[in-house]
Amino acid sequence: MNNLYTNFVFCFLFLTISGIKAQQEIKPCQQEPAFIRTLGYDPLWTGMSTSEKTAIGISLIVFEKQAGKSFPTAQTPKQTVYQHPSWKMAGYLSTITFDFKGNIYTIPAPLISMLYNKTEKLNTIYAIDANTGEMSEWKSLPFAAKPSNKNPFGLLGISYDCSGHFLAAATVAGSDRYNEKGEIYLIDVATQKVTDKLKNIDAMGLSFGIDEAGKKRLYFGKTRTGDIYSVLIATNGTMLKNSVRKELSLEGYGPRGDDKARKIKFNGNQLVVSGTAFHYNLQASSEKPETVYTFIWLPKQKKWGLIDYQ
Amino acid sequence: MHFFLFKGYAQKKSINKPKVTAVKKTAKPKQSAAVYLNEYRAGLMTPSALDTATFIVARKKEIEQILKDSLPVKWYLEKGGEKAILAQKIALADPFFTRYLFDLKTKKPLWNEIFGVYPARPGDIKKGITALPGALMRVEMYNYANNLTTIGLVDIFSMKLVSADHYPDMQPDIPASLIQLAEKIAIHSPEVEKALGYKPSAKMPIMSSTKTALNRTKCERSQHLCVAPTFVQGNRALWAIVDLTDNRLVGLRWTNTGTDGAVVTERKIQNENVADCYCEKVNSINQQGWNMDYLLTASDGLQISNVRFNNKRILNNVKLVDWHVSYSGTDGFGYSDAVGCPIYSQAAVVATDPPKIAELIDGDSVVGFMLEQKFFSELWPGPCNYSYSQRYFFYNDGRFRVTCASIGRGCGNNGTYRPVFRISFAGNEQNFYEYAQEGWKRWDTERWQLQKPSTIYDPTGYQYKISTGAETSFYIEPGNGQFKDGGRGDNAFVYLTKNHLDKDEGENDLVTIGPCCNTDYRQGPEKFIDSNPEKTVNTDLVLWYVPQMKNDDREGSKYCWAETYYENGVYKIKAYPCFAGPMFVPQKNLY
Repeated sequence: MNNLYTNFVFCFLFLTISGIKAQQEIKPCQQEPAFIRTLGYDPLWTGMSTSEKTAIGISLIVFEKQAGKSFPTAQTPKQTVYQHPSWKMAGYLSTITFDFKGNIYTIPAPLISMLYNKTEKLNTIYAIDANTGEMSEWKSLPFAAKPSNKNPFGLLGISYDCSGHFLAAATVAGSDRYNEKGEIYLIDVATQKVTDKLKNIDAMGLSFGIDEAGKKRLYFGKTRTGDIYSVLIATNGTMLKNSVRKELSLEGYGPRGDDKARKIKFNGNQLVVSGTAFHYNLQASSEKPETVYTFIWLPKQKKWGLIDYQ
Repeated sequence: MHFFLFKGYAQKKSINKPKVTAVKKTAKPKQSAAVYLNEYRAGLMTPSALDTATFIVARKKEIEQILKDSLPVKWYLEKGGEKAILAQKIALADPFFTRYLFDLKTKKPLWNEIFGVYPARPGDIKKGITALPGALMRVEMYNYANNLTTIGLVDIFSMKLVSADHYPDMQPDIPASLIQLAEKIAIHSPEVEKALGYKPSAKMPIMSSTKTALNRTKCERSQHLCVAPTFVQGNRALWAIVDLTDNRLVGLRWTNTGTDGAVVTERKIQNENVADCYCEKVNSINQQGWNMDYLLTASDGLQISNVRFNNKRILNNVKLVDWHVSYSGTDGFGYSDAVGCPIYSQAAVVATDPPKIAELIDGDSVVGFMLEQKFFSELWPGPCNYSYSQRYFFYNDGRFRVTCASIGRGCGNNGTYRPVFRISFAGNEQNFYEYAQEGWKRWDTERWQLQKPSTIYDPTGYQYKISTGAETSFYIEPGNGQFKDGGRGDNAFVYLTKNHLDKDEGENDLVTIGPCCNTDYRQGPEKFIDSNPEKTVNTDLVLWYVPQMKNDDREGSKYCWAETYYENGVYKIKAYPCFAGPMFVPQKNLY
């Protein structure tokens, strides 16, 4: 069983997209962590994973190089799996994001049980140093309400902003069926200071992008509905609260019809959303198939249109 | 003595004639807007009800007949005339289009229906396809067994299939005949009549057959074809979700028209119903001399509490803390599953159906009743998905039994299940005894013990005895395969701990108590046995009971297992539960 919220990231296949039209992605900036080369591996043939079946925490997957191919795919056989001793310290983890220096940020999320994840650390962001490969606590965010057995989760999403060097983090800690107490934080990566937050929003998938007016927005997928919203981000790291707007909804789409946006990413002017079931419980992802929805911005209608899901 | 028939009253019946009194005890009582009617996985012990409605009987006969044809497909004859028939003929003659008509392994016929034949739309015509104007027709076929849609494009002039695609987990627009069938099922359902307050007529349901309306409901769990005839009353709408694979009503939900745009689906109805009525409400039973409360917890299964028999308090509470599943093939591989509420919980395997209460019948007499809760993973019985059952039995003579079962299927055939029960007896002056060579021997301090082949039982089969007061004692009879529920013996770890009234040692919902894969006594309850074990004489006690069940997938001896089988063109589920748990027999007459 894989954790619903675990992630796999091929480290260094970041596409560069130029030319802004409609709603668009921000030019990627992420760099390879230097420790991978220090370990003697080719970064192009590695990936960071939080979904290894037998490994708690985060792992570096080293793929077998294949003739005629310049980079691995999900089907490429593994050569080895490396774990720094510190990479298990936070228990099971989920989303991974990189910054422009090659530092890796990740967040905890319990897998099936609470056995390996401490409740008091559910709102802590962990970082792996690009040079040493050592993982440590990077930023502990406050709890809006005391965690309870009505919600096993804290942080559910993080995303790095390559244009402003902020880290966005979404937590649902303290929320229950009748109280949406989640928060979305914007953190200045250089100072580790929270620059702003949105309150009372439970969200999971996060992504930065450029809207049709050329302004930077943070896109976030709500966990109580299939809606994706966005908010304008000012250069000083504040979120313009009155700019919050609904972008689209997954409601009724796909084989299940009640998917929530687990992962959001831009691909040129397409918004690619990984949707899955989410009910604030510990059901594992092998039970929760994921559907990838591709939306395209329709400038005339000023809305997103679904062009594909699979 | 232990032969019983379960005369279950399904939730469907208890809606109209409740046998159980629901008592709201929460601060903010909330009326559930959702009603979940029936389980799609009926059959663990309770036979599914026979369909008597003429239109369903006719539909089933039609399916049976079509499954005997060389191509098990119901043709679309509603619109399009000869062109539509020709298009279907061309499509059905092509082996790629008909690839999934039969089970790929067994070659048994699967139930298929062509839902529509239309002139091809510009978007249907892939690059490179050329045809005369009006020649291309689109044929949409649905496979009920695989929940799969096949869309073919045929050229009726050249008499060829020019393209075909198979779409798993997708359902095409349904034809008018199925819309009518769904309406009939809803209209003739007593639950719809009850919810509306009158019997609706055929003209009343408003259901658009447009794509949008059709896509606005899903049966996510059963993966069946479902639609929702909707009855509008003022500014409210009653959604009746109808399963057209099983031809039955799945559930009902009221929504506000206009403001409430949320999609009503099978899973939403199930989750909301269970959460509203059983997770957030304490329910009570008053039956055959027994009184108790029951509540579905966030992670400790179905808990019973304040259990009394003939007004005498017997149990503080009983619950199922964890399921530990370990696989012998891979060291340390397994899971610690908590069971409980479907939403806003720490459960890994969740309750999707309401608890059931069923009479226990011995010969021609009702001898007691059973309270049962089942838990499911979403894709059970697929590999690495789980289902569990929790059953409490209460007998007219004061006996009771606490049991549970794994219903498979898990990640392999080398799994051992270790459920952890916590049983808290009432009474402040309890003592616990084990049957030994020299007779009944008291346990004076906290400890644990494993039931083994060499275990000694008293002549009646009892291993332990607990006295809960001056006049009340219960013998404890572990499972040794004698309960005729398929159980093959408990092989249980038993732990006795002091029940501290001033600190929580599991009285409240417990987070996961132990890891998956310890094969010895370290299943979690040992945490409450101090390094210097406390006295357990004349005090409040907690009994922890951890049976061990090894699964088996061999033909003829399947155990803790489940699998799908073929029946009438679709796949159904067969379960092989492994029940375990002790019987408690009163030493003195409790009357």
